[in-house]
Amino acid sequence: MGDIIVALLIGLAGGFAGGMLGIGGGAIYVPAMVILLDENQHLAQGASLAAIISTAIVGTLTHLRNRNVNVPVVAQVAPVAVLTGFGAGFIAEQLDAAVLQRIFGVVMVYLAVNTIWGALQHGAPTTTGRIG
Amino acid sequence: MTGGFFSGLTGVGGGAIMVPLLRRFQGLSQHVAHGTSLAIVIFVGGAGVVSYWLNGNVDWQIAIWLSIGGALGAYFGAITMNRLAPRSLQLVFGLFLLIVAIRMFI
Repeated sequence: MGDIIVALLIGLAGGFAGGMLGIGGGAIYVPAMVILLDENQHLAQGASLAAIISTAIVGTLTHLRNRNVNVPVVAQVAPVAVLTGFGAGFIAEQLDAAVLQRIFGVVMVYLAVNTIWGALQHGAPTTTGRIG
Repeated sequence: MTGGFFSGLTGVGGGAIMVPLLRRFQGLSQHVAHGTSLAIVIFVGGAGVVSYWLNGNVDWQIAIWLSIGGALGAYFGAITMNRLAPRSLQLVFGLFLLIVAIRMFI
């Protein structure tokens, strides 16, 4: 019973971040399950992916209603993302997980600094093209 | 296209890289980039869960409750996003990326 409530609360927190930021919530689901529910890393990733689907569907429906989804871009990018997902998963298995994680870490730091810098700059061109 | 490739490489956290790429290469606004990224995540996550499922790596007892919480949270998250100014959304997202990035080095 306790685990159910904890899982629900992790879902709420991850779903909120995932729906707001457009990321699905896996970055919160996985570590939270490992730490709070003592779930094994691999099983946590599986449960996270399952939850990401419901999170992404509900979030997308809400975003669609607010006209915050560019459907042609989804149709163009989603098939490529799925295909490369399988391919990259295969490649990732051949590589050292720790090395892979460091590489992504560097990319993420760059994107984070770039995003924060852009937000802090006055008059960043983020308002153009906003619909609704 | 580039967004798809990087998202595939990152697997679970694909959306985090998708948003900046959608803005830069598809020229989407901050809000539309987040909404569009989440729609793409449905398909990437769907493909991911099938491969985990086939390998018996999904703990459904946890997954079901996590999904219910996630769906509720996503609804409120999406509403909140729509109310944020583009710059605030970008700042929150940047800070979130930074936390995820730092975690990768720990």
